[in-house]
Amino acid sequence: MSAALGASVQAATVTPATAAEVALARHSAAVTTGSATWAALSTQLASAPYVPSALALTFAVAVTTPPPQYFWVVNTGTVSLTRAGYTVTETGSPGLTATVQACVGGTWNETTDACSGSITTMATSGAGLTSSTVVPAAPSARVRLRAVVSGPPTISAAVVTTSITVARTDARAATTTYS
Amino acid sequence: MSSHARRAPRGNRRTTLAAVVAVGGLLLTAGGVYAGLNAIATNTTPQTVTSGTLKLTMANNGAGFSQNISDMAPGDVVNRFVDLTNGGTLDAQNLTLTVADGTPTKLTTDATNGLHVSVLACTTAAWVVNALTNTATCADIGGPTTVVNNSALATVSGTPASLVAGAVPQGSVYHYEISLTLPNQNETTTNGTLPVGTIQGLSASLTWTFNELQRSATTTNS
Repeated sequence: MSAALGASVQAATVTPATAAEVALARHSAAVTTGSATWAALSTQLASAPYVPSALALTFAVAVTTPPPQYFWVVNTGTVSLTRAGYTVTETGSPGLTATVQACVGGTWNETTDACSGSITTMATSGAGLTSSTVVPAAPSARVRLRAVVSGPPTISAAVVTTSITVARTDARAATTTYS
Repeated sequence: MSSHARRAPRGNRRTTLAAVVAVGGLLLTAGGVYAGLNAIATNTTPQTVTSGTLKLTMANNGAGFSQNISDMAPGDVVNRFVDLTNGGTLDAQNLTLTVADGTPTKLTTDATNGLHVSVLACTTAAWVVNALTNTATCADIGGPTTVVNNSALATVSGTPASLVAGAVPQGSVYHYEISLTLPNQNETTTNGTLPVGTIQGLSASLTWTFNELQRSATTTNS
């Protein structure tokens, strides 16, 4: 019997990787990103916390013109403001006119009710929304305003309400930063 | 002598038969081994086989993702710069970007008013970033290439944005400007009270994830 002997080396067939075997490389980084707020309110409080609402000031019955009442407008947002909308309403004493005034370029002497700068009327009752550049520009900044009423003697108390609106366009312009 | 020969018990007979069969089988097997021939071939130098590596690394160019972003107002654009390197030994493919928010808010769920991202690639060299002058320049002739154009994070969080659709060669470096935008929108705040459903005062914890896939598997004959 003649037996032919052979030896062979055979390459095995490679099985392609399946989807489950595909490798991923990944790199992650976390960044906290926050959005701004643009807001202001009127208050008679000297410091926070403030009550987010319109400020209602009561002027008592008076034979003569009642004295002004002073209050703050505070920038309670996180961005600077360039203007704001003021609305003043007067209720309770028909015939009176209420105005909100600022002392531009100076300060109020609240004892004598004098202004070292120039008195600027920012809003008047019945006039609707008035936009003014007298605003606390920086976040947390504040400006001192006053409300005054004028007109015939009153037989009932007058309530003067000051409301402030801040639109996006009243805040700083958009920025583009590279860093 | 009795006419009835005494027979071995049936159990003993079976044991004996099994032993005979077993011994016979062993003999046959042993005979087969000694009768066969065996041939072995081996390589004289051991063949080295290594597995490849797939590594994607990211480096901040400037602030990159190392600084948080605060107080974005509508219309604001914040540009950050990163370099990605396919630093393993394998080629890769399909480089993508996903952004996840650990605490989802309108910033990352609102496809219209929420955050948007664009990615610009600078091919020839890294972006030159100057935070002092608030500028960034790309040396590419014709300018950088926009690879992601103003996609909402609400979208990119679910569907990866493609940065490189094809091959990502081993050793290649990609220079990206990541541009984050809060779209223009108007909201009015009254007496310090934010409007309902506001975009204001929100916070997102963004995780930027870059993925690359291993190159396609290969079969070689050589």
